[in-house]
Amino acid sequence: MKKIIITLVVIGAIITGIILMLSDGSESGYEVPVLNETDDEVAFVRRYVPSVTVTNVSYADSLQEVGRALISGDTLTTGNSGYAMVLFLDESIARVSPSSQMVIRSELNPERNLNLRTHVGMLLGGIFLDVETDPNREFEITTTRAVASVKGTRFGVTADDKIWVEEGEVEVTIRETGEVRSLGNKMYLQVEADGTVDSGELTDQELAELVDEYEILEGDLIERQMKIQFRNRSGDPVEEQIRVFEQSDSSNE
Amino acid sequence: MVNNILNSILVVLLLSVGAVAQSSDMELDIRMDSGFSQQDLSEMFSAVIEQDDSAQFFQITAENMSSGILRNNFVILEVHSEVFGTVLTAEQSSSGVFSLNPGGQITFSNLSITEISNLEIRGEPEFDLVITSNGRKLIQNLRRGYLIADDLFTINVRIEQDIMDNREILTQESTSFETALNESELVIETDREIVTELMGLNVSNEAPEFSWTGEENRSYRLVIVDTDRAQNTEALFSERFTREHSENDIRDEQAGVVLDVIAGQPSYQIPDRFAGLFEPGKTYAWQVQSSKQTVQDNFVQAYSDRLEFTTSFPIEGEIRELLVNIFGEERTNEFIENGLLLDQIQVDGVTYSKEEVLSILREMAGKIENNQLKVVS
Repeated sequence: MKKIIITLVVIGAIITGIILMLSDGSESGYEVPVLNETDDEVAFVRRYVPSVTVTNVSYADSLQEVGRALISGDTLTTGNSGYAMVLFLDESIARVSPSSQMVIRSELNPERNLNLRTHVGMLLGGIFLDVETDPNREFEITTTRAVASVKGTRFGVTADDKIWVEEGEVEVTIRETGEVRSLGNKMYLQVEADGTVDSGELTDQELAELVDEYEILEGDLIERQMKIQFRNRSGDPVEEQIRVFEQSDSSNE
Repeated sequence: MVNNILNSILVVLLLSVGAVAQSSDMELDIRMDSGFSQQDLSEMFSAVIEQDDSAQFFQITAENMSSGILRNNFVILEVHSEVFGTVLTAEQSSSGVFSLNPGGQITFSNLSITEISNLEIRGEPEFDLVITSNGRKLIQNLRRGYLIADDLFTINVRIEQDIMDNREILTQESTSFETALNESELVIETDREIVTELMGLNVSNEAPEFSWTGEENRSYRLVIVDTDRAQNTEALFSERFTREHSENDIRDEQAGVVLDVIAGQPSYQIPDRFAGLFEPGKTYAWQVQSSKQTVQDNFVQAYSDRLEFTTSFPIEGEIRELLVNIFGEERTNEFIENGLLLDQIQVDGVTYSKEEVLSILREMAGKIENNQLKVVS
């Protein structure tokens, strides 16, 4: 069963990737960046809540422990309750929400210890990033209809073309028109299916809700095995087993 | 002259009989049947009284070890109790008087002849029975099924010889056996499954029934204690059972006595008027006491084991909301439809029950709300 799911995820990722790439090519305002990609590690999964799967042409691995290295071209997929925190070599952080899928590509510096150009193709779900400020480095998130380019900020992107900024500045290119908009603190932009663009300022509550979704990844996680025991009418025990991931106490201090 | 000679011969014969009639000439043996136990006591008395040999309880054997004839022998049996004194005496009447030739043997099973050899006997042995008043009380109490208590019983048997209408003890022997209060009689058996059933009870809308093993139509005292409230459960039970039962004092909420009632059968259904007596997530202990009478007219107390059960939480109200956080609405509703109750939680091998369950679920709910905890089913 697990293999079937992984296979479907891989096929889905490939098909979606192809569609995305085709759509990339068809849009007038944006060109897919050409990166000098290698097989070197470009990022690591620092924290996660299952299920998280990393797929590429030759593998489809369900994460069993933290520290999983990602190479350029890997597709990261989170399940219904899955979360992942990806730490790039340049210390940029991507927090991935449940039911998300993205292709991560990155070009490293000659020393292979820094990401010079990173491109995350959002296929499904959402992501919340902390990108280090550095004018010499490039960080781009693409969705179907938008490209978010950043130079240093905390912001979020969803696959359905919403970009929001907690702090810093994000430059958004509307792929259909090539229009470029700049988003500052607490601003958002939504490209609708008909190409119209909605943008404005988030209320504190709206922003908090968007950020809070990723709260689980803000501390080290402890996995706990729980058995919840019920009694049926005859008094016999009925057991339900669950796994929970919770932030360690030290994370909250 | 002839008369003188005949008298002389008679005297010689009498002297020779007198010479034979020594205890060493008659070997007497009495022994209890190897399968005899104190539980057979009542039946043994019946067998003696009714001279019934269908079941053997003791055996008496007499054998003439002398070279002469031992004539006109009678058997006399007495059963003696250290507590009751003489219980009964069975003295053989003139019927069945026997004479043993040298090597002759007679064997009684209870008071009936089962084996004879080399003897002369006149009719079937019959016994005149005398039961003392104490003996009658003992036998009646045994028949009532009262508990056999500590005692020492002795069966004395003697063989007397009738010489010219004079009874002389030829030989006597005895055997003894002890009885003791059977400790198992002081235990009221309980089926452990009752505890499981109690744990599956939705105490918010069902009244529990407590049951144990015992005779119908006997009086049992059931005490139920709230162990969370009682300062010393052991002492509380002890104090309640020592105190005489009173219908005006069947509850003491402050002390932790949930109920102290008398049941006329080996079960007690909590009546509707006590609805809400039990609360979810609390541990209760219960024990049954019953008085039993011994054959010596004393009373001893029999107790059941002290059993504990922790009531489970109905999935309603806050509990339902807390479970929805973890399992979702649909799954939680399935639990309810299946009549499940929340019992306990184990986290990383550590088990939490009762109010700890609630605090853990609340803590989890808080963390889930703050996105600090995720459930992966």
